Amino acid sequence: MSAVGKISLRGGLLPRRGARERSRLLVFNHAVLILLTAFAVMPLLVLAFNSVKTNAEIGLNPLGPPTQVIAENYASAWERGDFATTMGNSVVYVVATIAAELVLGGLAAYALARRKPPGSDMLMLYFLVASTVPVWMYIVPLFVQFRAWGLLNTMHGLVIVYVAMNAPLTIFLLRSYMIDLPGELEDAARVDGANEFQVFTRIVLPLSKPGFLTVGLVVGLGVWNEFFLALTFIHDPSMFPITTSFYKFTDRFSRDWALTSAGAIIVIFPIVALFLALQRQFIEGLAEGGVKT
Amino acid sequence: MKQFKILFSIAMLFLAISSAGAQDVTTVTMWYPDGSSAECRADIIAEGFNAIDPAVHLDIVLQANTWDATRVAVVGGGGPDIVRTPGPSFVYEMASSGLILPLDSFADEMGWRDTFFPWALDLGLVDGELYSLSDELETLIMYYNKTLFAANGWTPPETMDELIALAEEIEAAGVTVFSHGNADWRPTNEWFVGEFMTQIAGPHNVYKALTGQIPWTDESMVEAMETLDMMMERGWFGGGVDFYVTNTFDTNLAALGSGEAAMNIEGTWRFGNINDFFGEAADNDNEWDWVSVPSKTGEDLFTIGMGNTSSINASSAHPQEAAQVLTYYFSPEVQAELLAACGKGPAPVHLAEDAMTDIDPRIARAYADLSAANADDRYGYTTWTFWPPRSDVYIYEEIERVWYDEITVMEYLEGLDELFAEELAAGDIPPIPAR
Repeated sequence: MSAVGKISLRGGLLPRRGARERSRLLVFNHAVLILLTAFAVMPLLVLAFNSVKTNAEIGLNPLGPPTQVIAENYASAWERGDFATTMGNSVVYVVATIAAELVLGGLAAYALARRKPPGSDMLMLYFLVASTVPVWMYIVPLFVQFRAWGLLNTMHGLVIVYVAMNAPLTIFLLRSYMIDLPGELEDAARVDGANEFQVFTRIVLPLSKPGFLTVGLVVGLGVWNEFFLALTFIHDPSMFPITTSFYKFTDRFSRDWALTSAGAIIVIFPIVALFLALQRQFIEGLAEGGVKT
Repeated sequence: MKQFKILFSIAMLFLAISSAGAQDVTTVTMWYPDGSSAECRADIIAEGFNAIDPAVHLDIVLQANTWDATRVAVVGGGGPDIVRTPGPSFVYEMASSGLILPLDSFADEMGWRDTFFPWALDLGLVDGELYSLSDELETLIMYYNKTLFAANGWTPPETMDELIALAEEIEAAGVTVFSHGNADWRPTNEWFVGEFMTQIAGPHNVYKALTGQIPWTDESMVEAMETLDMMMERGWFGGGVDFYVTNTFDTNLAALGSGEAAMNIEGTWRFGNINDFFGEAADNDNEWDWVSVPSKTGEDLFTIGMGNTSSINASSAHPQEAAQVLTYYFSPEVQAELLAACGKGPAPVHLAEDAMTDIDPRIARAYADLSAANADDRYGYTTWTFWPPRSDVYIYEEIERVWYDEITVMEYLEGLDELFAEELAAGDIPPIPAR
């Protein structure tokens, strides 16, 4: 009886148990995903809550929703932080750095990946080592040199620093990407009479679009959030970047967390909006790259 | 053609006049720490100075993270004419490296020796020469929720014994004794170490230890640190060490303002925003007040500290004009105006008697009492102003090991004594005014 039962259990109930297990697994998976989502979203939610509270309420209730919404915090943060100036400056720094980085880094990466000039391995090693040296080790000589060249307190001077600082990462990433591209396409272009620059612009560049997008995103975010170099090389408030605005909300042992939170939302907003606007291109670019490689 | 020549001559004359005028104006630069009251301060300083002397123009740049930017620029041969550091202990290396100018001749010429308290000028000495002027006199006091005290019939304590007895009462009433925490600023720990040393061991013993006459393991220091450890162990500091290390300044102040906590030992810098946590701004009906931190003897003792210093850049092309700016900035009138309008702690200068008539009487009382304490030899020492750098870091890092019962008070003080002896032998001790 029991043996029959077992057989009938195996024959009749197992598939149903499998479905139940699958649905249990789905519930578990969803629970894990919801937890992870909450883990990612909660800090942003707390930031949004705190951006419309008073400082006293943040002290007593730092995590919960506001009992009273103080929307004026945004206007105060915008005005006191002088975001109209600093945000514009940061946009200039980001766009100029990305543009220079992609052109110069892209060409350098192509040369190192495809042309392999003598000493290219040593050059890559040099980039690797140089990129690990802390900025404090060379900030003073760099400052002295920039002062001698009249590049202090100029926006293009700071962009040069950003481009140089990000160059090793850019070249590494793009070179790694380009080295995996199929060489046959480039050979075919050469057979069709394309010169080296045309091979780069017509074949390598379109195929490397995901790599360039990634580099643009990483470099752009880095420059948007950069603080120390900007303060070292820029001493004119009309050229300060967005990160300096937060200092308008602090004193020695106190910080206006309400305005800081509102300011943080203001700083995050353009990046999130840009990412949402370009997310299709990012995903398409990645998918395209996957198919072609 | 004739008309052109006349116009050209007029234009050239205009250019010559305007360029000659521009050459006559000397610009002195000063980088000032940015912050919520920075614009108020900069306006008063720059507008006031620039209205006096048209030949010298003061340009103040509000800088975030001023010190990092300043030291890179000064070491690199640039930077502002007036160099500001975060405190006297930062001046030593700049002076030793020849990055800032000695100020003795300016002090004589411009009357700084009459403007400043004598001990305050001594703080700027390096190897007997004056290199910096101290600014933003500060001290630690004990804030309390006056409304909560009145409702419970508590009176502010005057001695350490009274404080301990009151703390037991407050604890029994289910109220946090001190709204303390260091989540925003780990060196908060040193406020209490320095304060308990001064209030329990006494300022004269601290002076002796700072000058190497007695060890840090002296019985009086042990008693001070054991009292501090006892308070932390009983959960009087923000609810216990685990809460203490996660409490932020806003949490602390909100607890004090709402009456969840009764007292808070903090600096006079807190005058700047304490009103955000009391009364209408915080949606409560409470009031704050302060008393000096109770001492063992009952004497009102005030530890003194300096928020920052000013010097003249060795690469400045206009040191004389920079000294003029310093003379103006440190004048008692300007310091009084900065205190009244922007809440800036005054420099250690002789303020006029009516200098504080327009400010909150609680704040005025604090600076008046501090000034009196300085005159009556009732001043003590803040660790960030008077201790050498490595010992200072040791003080606030290692005290947590005492609170977590990883080391004993005696082991903590032995470690401090050993490190301090090394720094004393190396000559790294900031200037300690003789008493």
